[in-house]
Amino acid sequence: MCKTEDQDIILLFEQRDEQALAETSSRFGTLARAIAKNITGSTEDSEECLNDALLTAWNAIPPTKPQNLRAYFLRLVHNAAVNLLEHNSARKRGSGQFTDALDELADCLPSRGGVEQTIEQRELTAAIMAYLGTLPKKQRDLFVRRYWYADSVSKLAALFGMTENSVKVTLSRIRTRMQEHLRKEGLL
Amino acid sequence: MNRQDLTALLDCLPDEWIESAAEPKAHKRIAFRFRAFWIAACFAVLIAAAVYPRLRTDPPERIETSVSSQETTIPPRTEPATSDTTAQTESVTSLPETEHAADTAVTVPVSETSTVSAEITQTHTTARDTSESSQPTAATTATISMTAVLTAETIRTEERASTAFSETTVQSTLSETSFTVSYWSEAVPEQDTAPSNTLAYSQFSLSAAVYTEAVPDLPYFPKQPEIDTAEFDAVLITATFPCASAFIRSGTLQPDGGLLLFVSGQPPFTPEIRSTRHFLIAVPKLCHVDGARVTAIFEMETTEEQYRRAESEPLTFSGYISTD
Repeated sequence: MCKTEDQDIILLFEQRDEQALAETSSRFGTLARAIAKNITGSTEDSEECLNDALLTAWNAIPPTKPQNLRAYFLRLVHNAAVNLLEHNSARKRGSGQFTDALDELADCLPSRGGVEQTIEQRELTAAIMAYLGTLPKKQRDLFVRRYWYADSVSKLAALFGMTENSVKVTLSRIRTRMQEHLRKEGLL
Repeated sequence: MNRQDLTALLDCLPDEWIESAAEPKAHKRIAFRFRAFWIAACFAVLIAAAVYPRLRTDPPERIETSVSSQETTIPPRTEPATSDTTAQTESVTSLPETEHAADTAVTVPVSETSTVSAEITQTHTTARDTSESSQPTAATTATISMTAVLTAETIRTEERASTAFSETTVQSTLSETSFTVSYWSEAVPEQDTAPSNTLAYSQFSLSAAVYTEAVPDLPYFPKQPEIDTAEFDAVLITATFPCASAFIRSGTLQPDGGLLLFVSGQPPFTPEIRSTRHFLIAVPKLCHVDGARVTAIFEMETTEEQYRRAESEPLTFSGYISTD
């Protein structure tokens, strides 16, 4: 990734140049559509998510000046897709990879309600981040691609040069160790 | 945990991780055939490094033949019956190895049925006499040939001494070889032109082994200028002739290339003392090694009368065989 190009795009946003939207869509559009489609399960919804993310970025920059433009824009797309998925779920529409991925991950994480949830949520997040920080880069990338990018197992296998079974086994081991880690931390 | 909580949790992922996961390195799987190729190559290198130097350094296996098998391939020598007349000609090559002790005098009668019996008396070494004879012809004016083959087997004594006897025994064994040889007549073709007083020719050969022994300082054996001790070995023979007028006429030496010399000068010569002569054989060093056999064939001229007398008086030899 060329940081100078990202800075140029940010500069265009700050100058309120609409070319910034075209450049952002040109550079991150493909990946952003893939994430949105993985979450929403629809090509049309992914385009909608991309447009929502571009609009959010146009409104946020300035005053926001992201350090990592790609991660920032993909996060906008991810949130837009999640919001759209929740909206569609309320309307009984759509179900993509993201739902399946969240179901996998939800099985190994505690579910608490009440006042203490907010307090323990921070501790839980910190523990998970600490655990993911100990993973090798390949396993961490695999985790992020599966549960944040919502990529399918077959796509991950092709992307990481692994078999689908190997991808499943690796993800299962990551979750099991994460459970053990949270159990050690007293969060399970 | 519900989806909203999970989504909120995943939102906490750092930008670096999201950025890193956006372009994961393609971990291309190496095909099994390529891995198998490199594994096989490594094995080949290891085997070559471990085995090939050993193959190069190990000496080739030798096929050793056992001593017993070697012994069986050599036909054992048999002792011929010394009293048997049929064992006359080849007894030279079929001599006993252990039957005769070196320090005991052995008298072996050979060819008892011959016209003239041959007999060897050996004082210190084992000696064998092999005689070849034919029926004597009637005494005519023709020449009469006599052949006597004498073999003094001092070489065998030496071999035996090197393995079983002490050094002292060897020296005493090699000190002197004396023997007596008889001669006999052969059928001689008639010669019409031969005069009545034609001399008879007696041929005999003397075969003796040469071994290292200093030539005794005998008064009748002056140093011969013809003999270069650097080139020749000396064999001193003392011959007792049955008649005073007999003389050595000529002689040859086997193996070829030897030089036959006589103490008293060039042949023919007449014994100064009846029946006793000394003569010297000079053998080139190159013709033999120490212990080799030397055979000298002499021809002696006698008259018929002398020959007849010689029948009852065997020719006697005593010799020193020496090298310096």
